Amino acid sequence: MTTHHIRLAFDLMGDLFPDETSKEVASYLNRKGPLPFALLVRDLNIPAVNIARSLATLAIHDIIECHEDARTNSKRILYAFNLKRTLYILHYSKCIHCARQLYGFDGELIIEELLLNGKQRMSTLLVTVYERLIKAGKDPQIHSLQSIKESFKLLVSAQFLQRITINETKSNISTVVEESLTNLVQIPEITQEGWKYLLSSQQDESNEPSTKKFKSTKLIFGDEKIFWKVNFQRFFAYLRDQELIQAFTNRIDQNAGEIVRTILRLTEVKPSPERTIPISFIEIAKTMATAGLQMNEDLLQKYINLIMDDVNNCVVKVGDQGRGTYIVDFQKALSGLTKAHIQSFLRERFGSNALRIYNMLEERGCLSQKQIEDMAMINAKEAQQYVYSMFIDGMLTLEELSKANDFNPTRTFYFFRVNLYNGVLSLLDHSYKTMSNLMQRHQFERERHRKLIDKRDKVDAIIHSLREQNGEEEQIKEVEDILSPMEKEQIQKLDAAFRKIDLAQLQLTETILLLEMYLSISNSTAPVQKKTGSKAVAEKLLETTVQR
Amino acid sequence: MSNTHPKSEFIVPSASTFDPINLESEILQLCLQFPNGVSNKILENSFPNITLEQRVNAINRLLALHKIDLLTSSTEPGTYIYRIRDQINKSNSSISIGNEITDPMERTVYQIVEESGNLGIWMRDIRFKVKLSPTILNKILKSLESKKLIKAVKSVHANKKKVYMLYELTPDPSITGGTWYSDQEFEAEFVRILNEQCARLLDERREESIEKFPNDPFLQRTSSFMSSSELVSIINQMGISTVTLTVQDIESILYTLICDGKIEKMIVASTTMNANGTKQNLYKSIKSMIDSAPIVRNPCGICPIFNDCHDEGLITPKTLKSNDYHKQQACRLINNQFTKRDHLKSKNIVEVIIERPPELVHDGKTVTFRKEDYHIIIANFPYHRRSKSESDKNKINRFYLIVNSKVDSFSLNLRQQIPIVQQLIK
Repeated sequence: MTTHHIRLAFDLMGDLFPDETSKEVASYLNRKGPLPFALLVRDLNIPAVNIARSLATLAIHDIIECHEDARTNSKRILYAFNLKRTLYILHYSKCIHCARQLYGFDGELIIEELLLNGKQRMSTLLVTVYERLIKAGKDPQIHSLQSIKESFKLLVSAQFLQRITINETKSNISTVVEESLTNLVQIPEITQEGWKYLLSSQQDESNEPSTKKFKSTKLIFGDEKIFWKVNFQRFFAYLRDQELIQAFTNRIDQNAGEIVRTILRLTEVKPSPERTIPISFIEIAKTMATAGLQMNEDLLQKYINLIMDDVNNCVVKVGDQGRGTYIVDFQKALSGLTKAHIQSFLRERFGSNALRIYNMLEERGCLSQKQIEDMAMINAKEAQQYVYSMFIDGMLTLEELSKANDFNPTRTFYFFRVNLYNGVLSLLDHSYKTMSNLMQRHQFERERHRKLIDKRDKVDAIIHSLREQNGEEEQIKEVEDILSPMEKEQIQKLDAAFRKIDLAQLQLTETILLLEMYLSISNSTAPVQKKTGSKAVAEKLLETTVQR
Repeated sequence: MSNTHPKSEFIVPSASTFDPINLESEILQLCLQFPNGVSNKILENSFPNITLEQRVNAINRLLALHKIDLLTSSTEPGTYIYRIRDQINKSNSSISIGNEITDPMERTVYQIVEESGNLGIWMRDIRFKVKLSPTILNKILKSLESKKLIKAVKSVHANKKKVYMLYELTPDPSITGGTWYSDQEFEAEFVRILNEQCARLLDERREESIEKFPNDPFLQRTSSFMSSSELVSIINQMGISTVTLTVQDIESILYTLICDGKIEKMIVASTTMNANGTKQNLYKSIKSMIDSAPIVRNPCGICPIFNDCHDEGLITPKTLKSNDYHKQQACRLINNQFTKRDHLKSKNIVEVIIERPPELVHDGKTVTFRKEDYHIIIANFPYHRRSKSESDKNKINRFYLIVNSKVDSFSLNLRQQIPIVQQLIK
């Protein structure tokens, strides 16, 4: 919950909800904690209607949570700001990309709509996605309503979407229904009327606005009470799996990556954050054969032996049923990956000698400054510099062990230790700040060249409308010439710069996701400062006497 | 008065009739009685009538005549023992080597240095054993060194520490540092070259094994391992280093490569007998898990002034030069010039540089302002710094002015802008 963390969250919110009220409300709630509506109205100088509207929008996105005030028992609703959920905005683009890769255009648009709207009914979702597809010029035969519904079904069965029901008694608070495997998700069936309406609107021309056909009576689609939202944890698990596969491909080779992919896919049936269900060798072999990857069983066995030795031993053999049963231990996998990220960070920032010192410390536990200089085969002065810069950055911790009772500097040992938890925290903070910096820079560039961008947008709009009305080539060329060649060059440079910034942001989300997952899954905490000296001894004695 | 003694009294030999030669021979006889040595205490008890000075004289003479030896006691540290010198078994005596040494103190010191063998002994330790004052000890050590019996060797670990050892001995590797140190200096270049060579050899072996077994990953892996003894022989053949390297040396280099993340190690029980014994270390080159962490692909990841970068101020994401990111530029910013201004600004203090041109100098020591007195100005600019040398009037004085935050920094040329100074003061 550092400054940069909060800063980034508000930057992201400002991006997604450009009106100022949401940001103000959220920042106030962040500062003061959960508050009831009345207090918000009283303290902020914003009309109550606006506050209510922004609260509603944010609540639908789960950025603001509503819960009952349990303490005073007064049946008031408290609104609390959820910082973690706000940061998920970072990963929106990646989620959409995943959906596109797995489920095509339909899937991509479904996820995009859901992300932008928070929660939606299936019927409204289908309608909006269909309209968007038609507008984008896709063939209505291929991307029909049926196909969209099919994609929706697939998404739900893969648990990328979650179902929400509204609790009747507490009508203003929604609860998320966790669907277990045994209870197959009921895709709501749209009633006959609703279906007829949708089909009829499909046959009409896409240009006619559908409001013309709007019937006076409100349609019942049959799923009034069932809402859907995106299951972020599932997407994150998928992204983590991708990272793992990439790591294996880098370490061994392509085939190893494929094997790990099959293992992970087989375990998607029952996802759990810490470790997968056991998969037997025979299953792997069968799946690989059906997937078309030619590999005889001997080779597969050899590969699996290699895989077991790699990436922090995250693939573990747990038994011998079915010629060997294997699980993937995500805790180990994530710690191996985060270590790789931290090592790369240290190597680039401080130099390969610093990395050497870091690895040495990790292996040996704790070392004093003198011992580091001797073992690392680096100049004493340089070694000192590296150790202290890493210490300042939070990658190493210092432990004091005094020979005497007073911590006289000449008579105490100073040991440096590697602390992965602290290192991850500081790297995460660094990433948050970098992300804010990138967003700031983006904003700044946009402001600086605003006129140019506006001009370009207008020209593009004119060209587009001309094309639609089948204007002549000469007209289009004339319009294009509004922009001078120098301006065009500038625009090109600007576009390249924006692309670079976007790419950088996208790649950075990779690190952030990995580090956050590591923190949530690791059960290590900040190490307790070891106490030595008479005070500690006295405390220990007191403890034991009290126990007796 | 002694003549009036009654006859029955025991006649005590007075000081005037004291015979030093007699004393010496008596001491010698005592030493012969105790071949293991006679301590001071025993001497005291045997000759109660002799003063300390006489005893000391006698012993010194005996020592000078090489009749007895001065030794330090092992049972009671700090006391001395006198032992008869064995004339017959001279060669067996451990101190017969130092025959040229006449001074018994020197001989003791020499003995101590000899005992320390290869490692040498520090001056403070000698002093602890012999309990001599530092000046005397220094003199003794210098004379021994000039006689080329001992030498001083500087240790690589502690720069100022000198240890003494016998002239002929070669110092122990722990002091000189071994293969990696030459002339007390750590050979970083040498280590680096060896590092690179080993990494290259292992990489080449890995490429070979990939080509040899394209279909079998397990064989690929096992054949890309090389043992440390193999590497040693190859490196020695290549002739990079002037001295032959041992397996230990190469293993320490390979350890640094492991820490670099470039290779990995496996310990196996070897099938062939070699000097190492039954265990062997195998090394293999590996690739890293990720090419580079995304955070370092941004300039922010490796920015040296990352911690100073904020929303406002001089160093923001907006003021980053968009074409290349030069570390030199960042270093320029780190240099105090701009950040100091920023830092002062945050405290609402502005640095005012006042140059005092020579025309204003009234006499060699004071400066005349037009209407204001120097002291008044100083009084109104409570934060100031004088030039270091008062005599040099052309040096710039820095005055720190407290202003409201809207004012930017400015420099005053005192001659032209005195009115402004007046204004500010008022």
